[in-house]
Amino acid sequence: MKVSSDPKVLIFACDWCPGLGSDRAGQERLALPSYFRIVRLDCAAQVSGEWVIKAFSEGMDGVMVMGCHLDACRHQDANHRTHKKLETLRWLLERMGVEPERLCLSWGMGREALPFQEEVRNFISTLKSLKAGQKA
Amino acid sequence: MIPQKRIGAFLCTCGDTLSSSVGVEELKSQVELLPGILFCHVHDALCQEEGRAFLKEQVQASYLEGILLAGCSPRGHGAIFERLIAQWGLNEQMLEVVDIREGCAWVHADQPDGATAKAQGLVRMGWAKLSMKGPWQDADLPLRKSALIVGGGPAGMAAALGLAQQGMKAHLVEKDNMLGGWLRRLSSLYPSGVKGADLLETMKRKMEQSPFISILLNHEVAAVKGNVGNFLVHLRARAECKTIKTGAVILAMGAQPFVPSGLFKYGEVQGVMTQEELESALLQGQEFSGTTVFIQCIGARIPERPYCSSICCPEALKNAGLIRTRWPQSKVFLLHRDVMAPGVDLERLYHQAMDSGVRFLRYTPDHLPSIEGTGSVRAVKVLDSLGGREMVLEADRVILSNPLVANPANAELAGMLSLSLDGYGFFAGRSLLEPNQMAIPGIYACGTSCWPCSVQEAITQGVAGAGSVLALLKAETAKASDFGAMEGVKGWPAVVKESACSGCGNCSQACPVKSIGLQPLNGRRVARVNKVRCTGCGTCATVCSGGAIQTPSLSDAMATKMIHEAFQ
Repeated sequence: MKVSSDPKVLIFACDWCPGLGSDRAGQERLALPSYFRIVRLDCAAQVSGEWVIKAFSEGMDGVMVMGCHLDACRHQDANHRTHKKLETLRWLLERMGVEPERLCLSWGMGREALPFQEEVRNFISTLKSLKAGQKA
Repeated sequence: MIPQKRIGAFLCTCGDTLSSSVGVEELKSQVELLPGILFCHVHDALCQEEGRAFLKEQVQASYLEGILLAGCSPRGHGAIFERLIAQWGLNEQMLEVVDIREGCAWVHADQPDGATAKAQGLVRMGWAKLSMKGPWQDADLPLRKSALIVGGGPAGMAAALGLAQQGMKAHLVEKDNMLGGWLRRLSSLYPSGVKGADLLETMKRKMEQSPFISILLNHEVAAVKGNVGNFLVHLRARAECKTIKTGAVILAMGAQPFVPSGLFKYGEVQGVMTQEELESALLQGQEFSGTTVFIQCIGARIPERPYCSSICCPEALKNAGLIRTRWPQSKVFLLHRDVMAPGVDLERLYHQAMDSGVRFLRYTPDHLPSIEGTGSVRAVKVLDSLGGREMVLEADRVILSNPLVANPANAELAGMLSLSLDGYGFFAGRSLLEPNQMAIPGIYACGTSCWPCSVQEAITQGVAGAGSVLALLKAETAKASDFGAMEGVKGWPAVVKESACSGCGNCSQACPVKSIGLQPLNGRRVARVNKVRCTGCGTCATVCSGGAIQTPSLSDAMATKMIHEAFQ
């Protein structure tokens, strides 16, 4: 495996809002760093705590979960429930020695090209600043 | 371990727009090395006719069981390819579309190395997912040819008549002991001027003549079970309870007026009444000579209730004009913030009121009018914001134009059906193209259950609701996947591995659409998913401690393998 200083980022993205944002970012040829991978989902609610822990144990520097606006889930309140669940997980991660900033929850920001780009960029720069301080 | 499938990989370069950043040949050589991949073909436009023919030829020549397609985003042509491969005899699930265009080549155009590495990662992830996917069986769904309508007001009655006109059975459930709802209490309807009672009589007569409408008075909905095409609605009544089987449900419970208690001396002094009380008084033939002052926007367009109720201005215009015309000696003032009278008919109503001699004064929310007098109304003090001076209007009575607020029945029904309401307790449509369809398939809402509207609009919505139900129930049977969460995209409902299910009920509790129940199986209980209600969100899988319930579009095993492959 190539050793690189770039952070490795895994994004779990609902196919509705963030999926659309990702597609639009591409159509508008917005530039983004290439070291993130997207797992497309039917709903952010599919993300289980185990997946996030698995991602960190596979060497990810950050995990981002992108869903639709909290009051605009296509599956009733599924993303409200997911938000609660993953906030609990963040607490747990902190006690496992993973900085809480390495898990980013983004609701509804990925709907359009520019906000999508901004969300991903912001998260990557957060990870870079964490990395500059200490290696997780 | 799942046996290896015969998978063919196809890289679509989208007319060479990918090749400038993604090294297609390098990618191809990597993909060919993946276990289970028989070949990897590069094509420049699989979505075109020639490309589709090429795809079909390859699928059939190699007896492929799975297709890995890397190119544009699945949002682009995913659904089209799914349909195509189904025509060629493959299961729709056995296609995995990997987005290496929008999500890779186009956003990383300036970094070819990074883009190529990412494309490899993404294709590996797609391969990992596809190699673990199994075919999915769709369920046939019989459609019961009837609808149940909750609420016997103008919207509900119009819906029943619309259905009956096409020979569709309609059960009309009303909690009162007679039909009509607000129609019974309105003296005349704007803009037509027709008497509410006359319209009600006409509608009732038409319903009585129809063999397709059954009216259930004094009944309330107690519970709704089942799914589109086959709902079981339990009704509650004083004497007896009843269960009705129906294919669809139309919600038309209506709204109720806001009671302005404590505002503008309502309930404190005599002569202050609401718009509904005025309607009743007009209906009873009360006299309105002397001076009448209407005040608009009582408890509407304020921070806690920011919406315009849309019916209060037209209603006040109608009644103000009516009083001036019927009692020519009377004086009528209308105090408003803005007069809302959109459209041809309402604008005409506005002009008629002005021509009849109603005086309009504008106030601002910072200086609300105040009511003078103890015991009974003496005068109304108002700062005329256009004239800039304070006026004291000697008045015999004050009419408060209050907005409609949501019926508490909305929340009750929403809870039963697991539907969400908007911030003010009204039902909101599922999408722009399905304005009366609720998030649960087979449930429609119309009239003031959705938003304050006039009788005319409620009837329009009722007829539209009937139309939607007729379109839904036209076919003999449907497929469960037709009612997925996404328009035009199939929803893949959760699947239970019964041998692993402990029957704990976590999934049933967690399901946001109440699609999971526990059912007995060989002396124990296991989870059973209603394939039609399930929207495939995956919440259940995340709370199952034994991994017994999974969404087939992305199971735990698939996700774990995908995470592993992402940066290999």
